[in-house]
Amino acid sequence: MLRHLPKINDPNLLVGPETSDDAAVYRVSDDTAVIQTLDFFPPMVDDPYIFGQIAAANALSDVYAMGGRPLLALNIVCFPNCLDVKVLKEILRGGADKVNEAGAVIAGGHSVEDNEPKYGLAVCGIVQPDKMLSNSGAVPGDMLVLTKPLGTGIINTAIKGDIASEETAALAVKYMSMLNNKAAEAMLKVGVNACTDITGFGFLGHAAEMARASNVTLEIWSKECPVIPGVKDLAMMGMIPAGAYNNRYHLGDNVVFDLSVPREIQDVLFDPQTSGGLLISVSKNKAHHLMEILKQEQVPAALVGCVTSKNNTLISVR
Amino acid sequence: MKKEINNCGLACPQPVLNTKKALDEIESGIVVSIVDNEAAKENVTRFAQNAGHDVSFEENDGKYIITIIKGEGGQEEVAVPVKEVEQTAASTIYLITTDSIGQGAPELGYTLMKSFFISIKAVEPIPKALILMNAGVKLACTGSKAVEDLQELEKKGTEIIACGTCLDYYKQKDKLEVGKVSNMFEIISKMGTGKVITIA
Repeated sequence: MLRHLPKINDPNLLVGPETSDDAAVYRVSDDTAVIQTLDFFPPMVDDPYIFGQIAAANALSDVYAMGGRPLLALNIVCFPNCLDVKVLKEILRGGADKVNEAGAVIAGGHSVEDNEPKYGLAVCGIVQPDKMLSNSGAVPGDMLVLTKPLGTGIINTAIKGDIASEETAALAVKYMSMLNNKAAEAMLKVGVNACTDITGFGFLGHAAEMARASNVTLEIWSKECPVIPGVKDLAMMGMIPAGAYNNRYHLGDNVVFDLSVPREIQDVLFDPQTSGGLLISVSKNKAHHLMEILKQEQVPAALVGCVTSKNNTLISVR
Repeated sequence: MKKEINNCGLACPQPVLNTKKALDEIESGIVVSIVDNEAAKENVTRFAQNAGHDVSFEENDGKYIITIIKGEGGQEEVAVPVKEVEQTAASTIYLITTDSIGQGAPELGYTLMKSFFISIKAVEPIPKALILMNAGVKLACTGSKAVEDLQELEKKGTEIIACGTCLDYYKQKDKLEVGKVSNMFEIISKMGTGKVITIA
């Protein structure tokens, strides 16, 4: 969609819409660039406080994915006048608590009346221009690290159908509301080549964007990809959101599966994630160090593949 | 026992839940679930297959009509009892579920399959139908050495039937060189019209 906007020629715009990256980055001085991002969506859970936390974690994630630190956030609210205003208070409290946990501040916001509630944040962060990460720096030989398990879209579909177990639903909430700050700190400490966060286009969709922007092919090891317990069973029961099928359709020939990858795993890899983890491309000699720090910080990360020179596909899954 | 559920206009996961409810309510029989989008079709099909039922679907005017057979009851309803069929060679139907005959060295299996096709052309009268399922569908697709033999049989009057679900699974649908694509419903009906010999 953004391809239709006029091309911008400003040398200080370090990241614009061209590379399908996570946020815009603008250099304000030699050692500081501003990261600006915005994200909001309708509730996927009933509890308004939890929804607020998830929406905030999701919006903050784009700053982390660029290697930045969030400073300031503004609320974006759509809310129906027929709903109890207490619900809105709980949503905002959830958002504020999450922003606080991230070490940033909420400095206001804007609301409009709408039929369905929606909530999110515009977040402003900073990064040193030479430390900035994008999805375009992956190089052949790199290892790929994913920092949260997959399957929240499938679980949310099953929750709608009242078919998810309490444990599975609780795990989805835990991962959706988890900040990517620890993962971001770890990768800044180690120094990595590329990063993106996993959201609506699913693991493979965002991985394909990284492959395209970096002009490489990503090899994904499906057996190593972390999946929230219970998700495979729900996938086999047909609890797959329409977005997963759209993601599969849009990627088409850009993803090639080995015949041994079961259908339900393919679905999980295409599953749209709410506030998913970071996908990090790190050189082989630093991968072990990165994984060690992530483990110490209790980030549920896994080594899920490697980067190869570009062949006839963006992603090859085996 | 046949139930029809209309899921048009419903978003996931509702079509799956409605189909599940209908199947839970019957001991055995047929549930026809109608959906109007690809995601719902995939999800309902997936659910029913994983629950161990036979599933087939047809596309009609932007809608998918998914037929699910649960238990024995469903099959009885569609199959013509075998005893009523005249048991002659002309009514022999081969159900071929593999592209390599028997267990053992795959190379030997392929050679045997090739030899099977050369021989079956010489048998009089020719078989009534060949039903290709699972890896058997690959025999009728581009690259298979059996394509010419199958085309010859088809010309002589043998019906060649390839399972659509299997073609989809092996991503061979656009590579089918001979025969027609069919679903489980038709295949079961066809098997009821003759003596079935399975090549596995």
